[in-house]
Amino acid sequence: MSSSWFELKFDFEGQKLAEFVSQAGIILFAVIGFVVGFLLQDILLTFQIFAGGIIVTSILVLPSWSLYNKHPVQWLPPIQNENNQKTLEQKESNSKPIEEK
Amino acid sequence: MYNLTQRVNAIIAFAMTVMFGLLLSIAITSLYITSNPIGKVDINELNIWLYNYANKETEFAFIEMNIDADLTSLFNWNTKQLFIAVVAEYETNLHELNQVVLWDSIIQSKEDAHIKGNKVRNEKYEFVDITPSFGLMSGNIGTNQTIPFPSPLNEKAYS
Amino acid sequence: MFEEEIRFLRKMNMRQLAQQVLNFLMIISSALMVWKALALYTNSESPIVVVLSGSMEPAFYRGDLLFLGMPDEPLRVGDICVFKIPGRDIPIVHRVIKLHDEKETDKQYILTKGDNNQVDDRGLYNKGQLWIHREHIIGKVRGFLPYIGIITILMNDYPQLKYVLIGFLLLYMLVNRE
Repeated sequence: MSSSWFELKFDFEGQKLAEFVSQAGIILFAVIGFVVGFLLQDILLTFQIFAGGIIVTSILVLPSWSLYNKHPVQWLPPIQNENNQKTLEQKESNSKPIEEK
Repeated sequence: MYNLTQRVNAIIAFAMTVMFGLLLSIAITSLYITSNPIGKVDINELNIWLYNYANKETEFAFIEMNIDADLTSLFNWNTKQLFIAVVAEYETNLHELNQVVLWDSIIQSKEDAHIKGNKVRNEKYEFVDITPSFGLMSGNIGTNQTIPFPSPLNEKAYS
Repeated sequence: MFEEEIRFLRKMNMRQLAQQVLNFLMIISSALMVWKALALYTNSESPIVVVLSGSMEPAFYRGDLLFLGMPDEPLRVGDICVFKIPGRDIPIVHRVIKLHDEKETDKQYILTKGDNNQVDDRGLYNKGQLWIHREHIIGKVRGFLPYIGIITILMNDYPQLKYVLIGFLLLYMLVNRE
């Protein structure tokens, strides 16, 4: 897919951090919601806290904060060769699945 | 986690997983919360009338009763409502167990029930069915009371 | 946005296409297996149902998901059960309000009523039918989850949505590369 402005890409270190932040955040809010809801015997509060937690986590993880792009990949300089244009394109689509993960 | 769609996808998928875990743990806690409901039903009046119903002479019983029940302890964080019914339970020659709801009510918040109703038949007990906000349903919590019935039973009431 | 997917589809040879189709069939058949295993385990022909009407409000609302079980012991008054009237497709979820166990045959005479209805279900039964029996019962409600079944309700109300959804899923499976 050609890169466009709304994709908000992260670098590899950023992806690792974002995964940790999102999972830890959601679990943390679920636990807080459970404990508070249990103590006050109010189930609605549990789910309000949980929903709030998802929103907070989304704000932390979805936008392209500069924190997630501190370790950009240092690519090798491109080789200048005209008849390689076609192979390069193929290479790009072949290596795509690895790159995405 | 590479681009926006992947992150949205990951967050939604993970939040769903955690939510089902949360639902499960709440459902489990409601199994261990104890309660002590108290209930009492007094018969004020019990009249048997004979009516002609579907070309047969049929007994109809009219009961007036006072119900006094404290069910507040049944409300925990996973209680959505209580279904309360006064059930007449009796045995006849043809049928080993007969259950008829004489009166019922749905309670959705912590409050008592003190109600008068009038309707049909013999020995009775109180019955409570708890509907949780989600998770497992439990029922049949209540007190048993036996009340003598003054006249012989008639099978014609239903046919 | 889609040009890459189209390119991908064009590049696939027969073998890859067959594999994608097989993957898709695999997912469908495992879903069916889970469903049938659940039906065997709970002894109920359809162990999960969606509430389609408001007749049991405020206990169940439209779109709530119910988990059914088939108890070995006979039904009792107050049980919420799902039953099917012969000759009608849609099962009904209502509460038992009257019950008579026959001594000799153990046959149960059951009368049901929706909590939100003013009258009992005799009007819903077939003409002249006063009671339902054990063979009409599909299951007893054991547990429930609110709101989850709302997709089924939407698909019921807008049948086109069903085809759009299935078509979208099919397409997604075909172009899915993982």
